[in-house]
Amino acid sequence: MKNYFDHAATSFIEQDVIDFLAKQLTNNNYNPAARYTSGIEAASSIAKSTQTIASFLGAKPEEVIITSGATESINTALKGIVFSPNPKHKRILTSAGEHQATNETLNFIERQLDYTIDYCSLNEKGEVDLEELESLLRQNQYDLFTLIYVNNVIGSVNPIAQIIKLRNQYQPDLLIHLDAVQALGKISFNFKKIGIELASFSLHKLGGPKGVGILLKNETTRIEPLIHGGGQQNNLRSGTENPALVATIAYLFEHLQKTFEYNNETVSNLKLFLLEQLKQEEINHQVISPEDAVPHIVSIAFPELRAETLLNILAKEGVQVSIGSACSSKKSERNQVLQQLNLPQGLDQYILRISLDKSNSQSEICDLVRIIKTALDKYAI
Amino acid sequence: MEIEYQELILIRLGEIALKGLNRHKFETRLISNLRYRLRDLGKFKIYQDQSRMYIEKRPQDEFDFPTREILQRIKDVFGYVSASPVRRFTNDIDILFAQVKEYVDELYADGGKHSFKFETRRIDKNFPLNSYQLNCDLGKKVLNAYPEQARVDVHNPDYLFQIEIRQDIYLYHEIQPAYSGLPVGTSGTGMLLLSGGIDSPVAGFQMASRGLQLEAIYFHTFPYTGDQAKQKVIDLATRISNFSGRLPLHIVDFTEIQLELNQKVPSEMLTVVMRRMMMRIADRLAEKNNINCLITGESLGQVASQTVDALRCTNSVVDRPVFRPLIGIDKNDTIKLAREINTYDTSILPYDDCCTIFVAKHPKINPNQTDCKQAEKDLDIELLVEQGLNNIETIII
Repeated sequence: MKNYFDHAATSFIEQDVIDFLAKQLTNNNYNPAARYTSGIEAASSIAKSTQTIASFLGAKPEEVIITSGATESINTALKGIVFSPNPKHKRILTSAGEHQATNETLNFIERQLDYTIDYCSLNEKGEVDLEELESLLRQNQYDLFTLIYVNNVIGSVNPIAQIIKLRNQYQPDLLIHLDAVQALGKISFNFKKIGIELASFSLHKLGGPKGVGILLKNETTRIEPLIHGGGQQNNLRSGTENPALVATIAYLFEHLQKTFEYNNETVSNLKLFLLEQLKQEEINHQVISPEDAVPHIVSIAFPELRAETLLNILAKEGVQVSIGSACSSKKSERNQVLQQLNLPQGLDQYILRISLDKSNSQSEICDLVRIIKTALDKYAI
Repeated sequence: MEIEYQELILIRLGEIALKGLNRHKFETRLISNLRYRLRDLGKFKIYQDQSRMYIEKRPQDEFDFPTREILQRIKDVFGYVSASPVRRFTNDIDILFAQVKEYVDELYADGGKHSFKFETRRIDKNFPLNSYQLNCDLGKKVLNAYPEQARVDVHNPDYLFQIEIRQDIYLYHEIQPAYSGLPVGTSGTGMLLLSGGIDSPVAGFQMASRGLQLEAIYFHTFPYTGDQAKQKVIDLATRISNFSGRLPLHIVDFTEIQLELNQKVPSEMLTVVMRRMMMRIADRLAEKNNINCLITGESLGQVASQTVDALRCTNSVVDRPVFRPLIGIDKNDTIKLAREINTYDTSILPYDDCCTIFVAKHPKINPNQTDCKQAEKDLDIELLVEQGLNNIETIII
């Protein structure tokens, strides 16, 4: 896909993945719950794939739940805890930098179940403010802390090790759920080593099809299922399992394991190249993403032209970028993550999110920069 | 006994029935507007009889008469007071009793308690019972059939069963109120200045209700306003066209003009000058298309460009009357109407529009003619107007 700079919204499926999935759908499409040989083979294929998936994520196979996507994973994690016998405090902690999937689920829980939700502020880098977090943990008892791992608007990475330390110090029993959608494949992730109870992922942002996601839930945490039915996946997510899709996730992860470092190095170089080009062309800009953000998300403000205007020009030229958070761009509210960053008044309206992938090229970036420069020359107000 | 009746829709004319010698013009137009609104449902027999109109199936058509769909669509047509779905059957007392029984049975089948009243108009004086006798007889029958559910209420009945005995007999109880007004097209055509906001579609609706056919003009400022903003205006025009009929939408490429203004006009006068340019272009296009009035969604004092002084500045550059039906209307009432005509949800879609981008922090609230002349002194107005007129894309909606 040429001139596509919106990989944090969704990515494209490479041909070998499509071929693999097609082959799987042809040969590995039996009901894994069936008792005949082909059904038993399907079940064993799922078990094998799950093993690969679990090992890639640093989890045990029985901790893996396949869902329809990150939104379902997040809903299952949050509502699953709330409806389980665990909660004692009717209070959930989160941050002010969450994705809508989390925010709207928490709004539902607050409204319908009379929970209190506390939102920890972000610092100017877009990470959760550790001092405030410490004071919240000291003051209140929570049933769950749900946090985005990598921010989807500016790419900042929450300091999870320090967060776990605070949890262990103040509320060792507090369950933590990580929305790791933008982290997967971008920073190394090991469920066990991090020491959290729940984590959500989506596959379509790293070369998989839409409609599939993962929820990790550690063995000792109890959740109530969101979807009831035939009792599949240890009764945690009913619905006939799809051996072909699960095998495809395993295939993607095996590939990712091998290319992880190369990908990130390529994307980091592309990011550097982009920033150099902007400087070289003397384009007035301000990088909003912190320096230690994941390299594939680069949010940049062009203070001379509103982001929507720039987006319109780029779209006309066949270049695809997004403004603010792609998921909330239909809503008129201002992006709450950007509101947290102490930016000059109104600058949030001038921020483009350029999200890169190894498939992008330097020449595409040159085109992007050239179009931005021409646009600013002609239309800057 | 097979009960046979024909379904039709009765339309009560209001204001236009009072017109004098030119009444015919209004009626013909209303019929053609009804036909236009129903064009995707099929062809129907639509005719007028004194202060009423009727819509019914043509004798040669086989399909079922889509009563509900027709009622839904004609809600959007101006020029009549109300409509009712009616059953028509042979003028015969036994058939009447049987028809009323079936009609009433359907309404009481829900098991609920409903009060009722019969009202009969006996135009055919040969009918064996007079109105009063018939009302009493029918009332008794209903009370006997539904002793638990039915009750007579002559003041405020749930069901007011109306029977008209003419050459045939007509039976109905439901009345769907309409917007009234005058049939679109009977007052000429107006040029609506359509933005993507809440007000201008409502203004278009209001003027269409007084019989104006519409053309609309929209000033597009790509890339400051994007394709989505343009689509939003097309969607709004499509909604308005449900009421106003065929609607040419003229999309003016305003970017170069806007940039020129931005460069040469003092920032505090930018909005007023921009609106003066828009009015000039709309006025000239109206001239070209034989249109004698302009319509805007302005409401007094709503924003800096809608003060009396600012309105005088924009008004003074045009020759035609400018209709501003919302000038004295509270915003909440406009929003209410926008919701009712189903433009509100589209109007509030959050795409940039040029009025918000090119707005000064502190616009001049009380500009006068001298201020305008001074602000426009470096502009070649005629050239800019020509430029606007030469860069119009017209979409017929």
